[in-house]
Amino acid sequence: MTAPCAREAPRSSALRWRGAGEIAFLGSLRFPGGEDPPETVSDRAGPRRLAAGDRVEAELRSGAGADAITAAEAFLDAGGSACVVAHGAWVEGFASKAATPAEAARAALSALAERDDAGMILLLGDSAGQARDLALEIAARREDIFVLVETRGGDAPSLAPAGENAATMRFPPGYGDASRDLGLLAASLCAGDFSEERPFLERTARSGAGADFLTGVSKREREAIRLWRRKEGLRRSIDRGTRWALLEANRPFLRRRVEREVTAFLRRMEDLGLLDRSAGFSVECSRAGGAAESGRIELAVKARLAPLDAGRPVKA
Amino acid sequence: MGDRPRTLHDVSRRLALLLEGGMTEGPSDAEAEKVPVLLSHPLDPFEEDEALGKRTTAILYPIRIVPERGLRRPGMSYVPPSPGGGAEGFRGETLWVRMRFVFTVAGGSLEGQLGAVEAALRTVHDNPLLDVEDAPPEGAPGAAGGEPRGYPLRIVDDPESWKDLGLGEHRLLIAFEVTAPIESSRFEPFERVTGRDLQVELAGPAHPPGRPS
Repeated sequence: MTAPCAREAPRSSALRWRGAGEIAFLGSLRFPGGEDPPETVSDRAGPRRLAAGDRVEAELRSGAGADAITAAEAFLDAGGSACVVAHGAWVEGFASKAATPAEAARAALSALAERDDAGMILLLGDSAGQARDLALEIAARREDIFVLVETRGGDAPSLAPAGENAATMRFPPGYGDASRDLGLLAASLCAGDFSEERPFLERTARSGAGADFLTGVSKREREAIRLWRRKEGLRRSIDRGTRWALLEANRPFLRRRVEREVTAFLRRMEDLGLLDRSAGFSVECSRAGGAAESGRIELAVKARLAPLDAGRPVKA
Repeated sequence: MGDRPRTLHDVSRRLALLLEGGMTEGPSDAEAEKVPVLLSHPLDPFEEDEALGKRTTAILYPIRIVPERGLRRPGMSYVPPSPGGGAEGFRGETLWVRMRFVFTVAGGSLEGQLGAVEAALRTVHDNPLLDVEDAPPEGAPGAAGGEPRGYPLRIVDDPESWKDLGLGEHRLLIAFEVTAPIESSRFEPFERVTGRDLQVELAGPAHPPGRPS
């Protein structure tokens, strides 16, 4: 029995570990000036993606601000795989030229949050002050995004949670390594992220990855963020891995298939030590109730995370 | 009558009308006797044979209905939405059956009876498809645009049909078969997934970080 669909459902499961989303740095934006600003299509297309080994061009360096570039470089040098850097030419593409710098920073933050793979946004320098309120508002509204905002004050660097998915990192006035420290913190979090890949399993089996000392960040605070990243990674993996069900026929066969695929994925996560095997888990996919909601399906997943330092079997 | 299935009755009636029409056409003279084709219970007309007298009467009996093996398809098939507002969905596959009819004549002269039989054979031979007026269902033979439509109609050999009718002695009978559809009443409206509500309840570890276990 077949029905024509916009695209075919995947033959094998699309569920795999997707992580907690991309890391984005939004610093003190600089806009290209002059009669003929150096605009290129790629500049306007989106924030610049940087991966380990990429060279930071002068154009990006000036457009993103020294703070964001410093943080991104520290992040990559410390082992971060890839990140996204907001820059002036990109923001100018969708924010009016008449906008104030504060409005531009807020527009950039909103655009970063709207990206499909948005995961963690770090606000540094001018943007941190200009868009702080909006950042916390976004964090309250969007449970899938973690916002980390640089602030100034106090005698020593300190991380203060501002909700489950938001925090402020306070640095003393005049502290010169704030951007670098935030980049290192992001790298440390990424290093401690869960992964299905063998190097992660071997590394974490030997010693706790992501446990490097960071100024002003206690173990408890860092581990709370790491747990959030695992939760969000799992939610994101299930979300992305079941998107294929949209526009498919809403029939019992489809719902059972979703359940089976998610169950198999969670079983794998149990085997890899992400989930607490002793607590078990449940997966239920059903029609959303009510005639008006007849086209919707509801996927309910309950599970318990394993402790971060739980013994993790390394499979051959 | 409501939703009572009518396919078999319609097919029988249409065949009777086709045969009746075939017996009034042709080179016969204008005064030729009109031969009615009755669609009736097998035994009644022969009991009434004498009452028919000189009038030749044809009788058409549906005697056997069996599934058409070559057209058997299990499961359900997709039905697209129709421009007239027909719902999109899945319908159970149509059951195609071979419906066998026996045709005979009673009353009147031998010439009249044989003439009626000949006319019936000629009519069926000339009409390999039985048109039932309404458009045949999707997939029926001849359903494609521009082609003659209807259900396959053919002459078959059935020397034992007089026994099937419950007659005590042999009578001249000829047999026809029509392949006809009996549409499934199973219909499940097609509904696409238009959205997902994802609820992931992830409890933290049994011993939260920073607390003594």
